[in-house]
Amino acid sequence: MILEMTASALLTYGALASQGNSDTARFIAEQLQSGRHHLQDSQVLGLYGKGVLNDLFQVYEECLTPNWDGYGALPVSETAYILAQQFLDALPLGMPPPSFGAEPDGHLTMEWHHSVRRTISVSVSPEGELHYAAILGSNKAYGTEVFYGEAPKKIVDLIYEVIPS
Amino acid sequence: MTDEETANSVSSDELLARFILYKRYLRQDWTVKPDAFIPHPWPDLSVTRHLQLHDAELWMIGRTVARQIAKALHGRADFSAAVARQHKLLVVAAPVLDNPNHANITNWPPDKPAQKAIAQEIAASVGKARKAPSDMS
Repeated sequence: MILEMTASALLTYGALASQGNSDTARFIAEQLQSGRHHLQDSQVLGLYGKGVLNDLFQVYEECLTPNWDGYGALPVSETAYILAQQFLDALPLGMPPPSFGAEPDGHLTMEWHHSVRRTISVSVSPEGELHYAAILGSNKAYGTEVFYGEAPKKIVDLIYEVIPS
Repeated sequence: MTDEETANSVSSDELLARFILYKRYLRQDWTVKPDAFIPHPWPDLSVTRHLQLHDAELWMIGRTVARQIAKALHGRADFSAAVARQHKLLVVAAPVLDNPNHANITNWPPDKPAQKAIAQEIAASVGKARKAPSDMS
């Protein structure tokens, strides 16, 4: 069987969890994942090519010890770090890189920021929840999405509203 | 609100300072990330009232806080108590030994996304943070 996967298909969709259990479904999922990783390394399309993994790791290292913020912050857990990596991996290709940070409750944050009235912050909790809040001019949006390996459409759409592609 | 809370209440026209002890709370342009205003692990957010203090006196308090916990003082985010009030938060005076102007911002909603939304509004109201004098960082 020949499977053709175009870059455009990989650009259009984020990471897709396989819905099937057959050998073919698994093979397709593996090939898609492999193709996405390859493109994520690209300096043009990929977040990895833009050095985001190094930035994320730096924040994780800085926030490993309790009280890293001077006000009694909880340490960032390895689980939150791994989930943050997986969330990055699941984002559509071509997405602008976020800036990373941490919150005193031990969540890692990713921020896409255009101005103080056009900004979105996503917190990755060790429990696998993505808490987000966005300001879009006079409008606001906030909520929680559970992370199952795919980037939630609601969050992706908000990021593109903050930073149009 | 109890009588005690009323007595300790901070008026809406007061300015409050949040000392920044973690550099990544600041963006490159010195605006402040909302991360700096998330109240965990306690239900309160610790701030210092400006009241009649001169700028140098405020920085002195920040330096004392930073020294006590061996952190660098990077800057200070000033915002109005009215911004907290707009989001149904309470600002309550809570003097401590080294900081008689200390206050807590309380009554935060329990859910994280709502906290983030309020923290974003506070951060937006700050504009740019003040950079700590070079002898304090």
